[in-house]
Amino acid sequence: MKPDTKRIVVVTLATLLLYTGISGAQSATPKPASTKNPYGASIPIDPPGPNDVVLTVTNHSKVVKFTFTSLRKLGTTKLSVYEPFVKVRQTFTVVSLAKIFKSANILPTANVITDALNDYIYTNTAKNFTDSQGQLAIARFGAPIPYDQGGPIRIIYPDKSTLSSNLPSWNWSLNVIKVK
Amino acid sequence: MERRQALDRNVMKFRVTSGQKVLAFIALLSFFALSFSIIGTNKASIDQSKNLTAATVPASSIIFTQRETLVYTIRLAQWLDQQIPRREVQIARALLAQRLAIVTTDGKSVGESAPSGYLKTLFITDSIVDSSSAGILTTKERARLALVLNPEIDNLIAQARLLVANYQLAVDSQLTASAKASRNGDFITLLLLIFFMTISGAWFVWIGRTSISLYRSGRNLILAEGKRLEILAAELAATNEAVIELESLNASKNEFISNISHELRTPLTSIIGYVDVLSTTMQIDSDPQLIEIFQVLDRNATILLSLVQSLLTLSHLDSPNKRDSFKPVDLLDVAEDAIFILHAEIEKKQFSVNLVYNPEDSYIVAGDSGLISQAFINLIANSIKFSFAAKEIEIGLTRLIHEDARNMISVSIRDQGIGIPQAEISHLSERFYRASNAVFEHVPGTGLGLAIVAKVIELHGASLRIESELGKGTIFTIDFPEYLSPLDNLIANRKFDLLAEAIEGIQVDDQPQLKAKLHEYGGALGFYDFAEIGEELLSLSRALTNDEKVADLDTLNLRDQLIVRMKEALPKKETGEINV
Repeated sequence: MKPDTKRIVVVTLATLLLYTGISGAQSATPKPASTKNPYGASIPIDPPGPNDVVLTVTNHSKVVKFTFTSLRKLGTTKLSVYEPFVKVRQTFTVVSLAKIFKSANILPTANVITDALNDYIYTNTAKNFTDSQGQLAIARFGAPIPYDQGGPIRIIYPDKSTLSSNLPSWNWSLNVIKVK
Repeated sequence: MERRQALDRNVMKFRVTSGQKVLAFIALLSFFALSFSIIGTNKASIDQSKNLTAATVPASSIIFTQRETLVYTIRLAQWLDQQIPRREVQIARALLAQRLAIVTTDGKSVGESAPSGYLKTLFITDSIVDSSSAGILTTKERARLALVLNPEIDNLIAQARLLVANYQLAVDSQLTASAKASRNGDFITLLLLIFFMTISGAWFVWIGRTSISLYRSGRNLILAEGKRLEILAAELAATNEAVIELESLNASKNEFISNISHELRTPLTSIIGYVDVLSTTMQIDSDPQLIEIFQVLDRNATILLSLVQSLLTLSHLDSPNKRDSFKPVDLLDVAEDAIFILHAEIEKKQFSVNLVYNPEDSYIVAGDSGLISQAFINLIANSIKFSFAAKEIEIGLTRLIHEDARNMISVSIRDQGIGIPQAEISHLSERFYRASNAVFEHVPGTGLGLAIVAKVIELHGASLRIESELGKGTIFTIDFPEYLSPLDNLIANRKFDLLAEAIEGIQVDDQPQLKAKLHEYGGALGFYDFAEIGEELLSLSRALTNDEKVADLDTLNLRDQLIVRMKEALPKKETGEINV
């Protein structure tokens, strides 16, 4: 067998095994991923407190500040998604973006800017966010999301929704939502 | 002729030469090679595109990593400058860690692909930050940390630059390799394409030239054939006109003879009558000269009348569509009538005429009773005329039953007269021909009697056989086909058609084909009453195998013997020919 052919066979088998593994993982109950980022600092950062402001929503003159407590009051659900960056399935506690937009009277046609702690920005219309059932994740596997894993809050999308494959729209460590 | 046959073959079949076949084969091979090469090249292009597409993801990750690194260094600098608390630095560091943890399309995290120096520097800064107090740095701490942290910040910035540079080098290397592979593939594909175009182009040109040549040959042949057909058509038209003219002349001749004969018969009858009246009323017994004169007058007038009557009969026979009036005729009745008509002559010359037949048989044929009667009268009259010593005539009727052929009614008239010279028998049906011994013996006659008989026989699809021995007598035998009802006639025609077709059909030398034909016609002929022939054809078919390509001589001899027998079973040709 030639080296190339051998490599193709090995890669194919590995792909099949990986696929089988993923399928198995998808069908089984999601297990918590390692909470340790191998590239993180040795001293973890304390997550924000329940009454610390974690998200500021600005619709022109209207400004709404959210803490974990106030976010939970909007109503939370559990959502299992395939996390496209670390490529594992994870279960998040989420608040729908639609509720957050509504709380700040953001219209569907409004251009919404999502701004992260590191000043990363992603912009789209409110309608597109809600049509893709965009969610604000406030916890993962029932625990706060560490800063070095996208926390404390981040935007996620259900599998197969329109924006789920649009990786720039998965804004991590979200800080501000504002209308353009 | 050979050239013409060659042209015929060329026109009939489009042919490809061996050279053209070889060229076509090479073109086909080059086509397949070209196809595989194109597929390979496309696959390489697709792989290259995938690599380029995949490269964009790590590229963005690298750029973001560099950005987060720079943000982190700024935060470190701000923290060292006592502008921000340690938490801000830690958050920036966490966001950088988050970026390094991203798993790219090759299954590796960004951190795994980072240079070791980068991570080492990162962890050094971690230890510096972790060892400090929370919140804003004190002046004392700042002074202590500045010495160790500033070089690491510079180092981290340099490593971040290297991060991008290394990545760019790797991507460039990958793209260059892909481009090289693609270029090689394209070059081979181009070579194969040129080769294929050259070979297939040459093949098309060659085929085109051959086709044009064949077309021209065929066109010339067709034109020549057209001209030949035009000439043939002209000749055929001329022949047809000649035939029509001859038929018209023949009809005029018959009409003329008929009219003349009618005109002559009336005065001749008068002359004969008056000669008879004169010979009986005048006292000529005492004058031998007068007696001779009257005898000459009577004989010649009678001959002339007989000639006229014979000409009339022949004229009647020559007219077309005589068969349309054919009806079933009992030959026994006709023979008895003929004997009755000649009764006076028979009595006068003291002849004994025996009619021999089987009362249980019927002797029915299809025909014209008047004409058949005329033929019988002519033959019996001849027997009377040419028998001087033995005055006995035998007329025999026989029904001949044939298993494999049509039944026949045979009528024979046997006399013990002077006979006919063998060499002259075949001429007897010619008009005005008279046997040499008849002339020698001064037997009066016109030479038309047997011509009439032959014509009647021809008209009835019969045949005449003459057996004769000088001084001992003659036997005239006429074989008539037995009468068949319209349905029987249809079947008979079909079976004889089939027999004729079988004779043609089995004349093949290819053994498997011969075997098949023998089987096919054997079964069919058995069904149509040729049981014996059919069985023999089937037996021969069973004896043959399909293993041999060509039948051996023994088989072909057996086949030929069967063909002879089959031909014998066919009805005789309606020519009225005389068989000696």
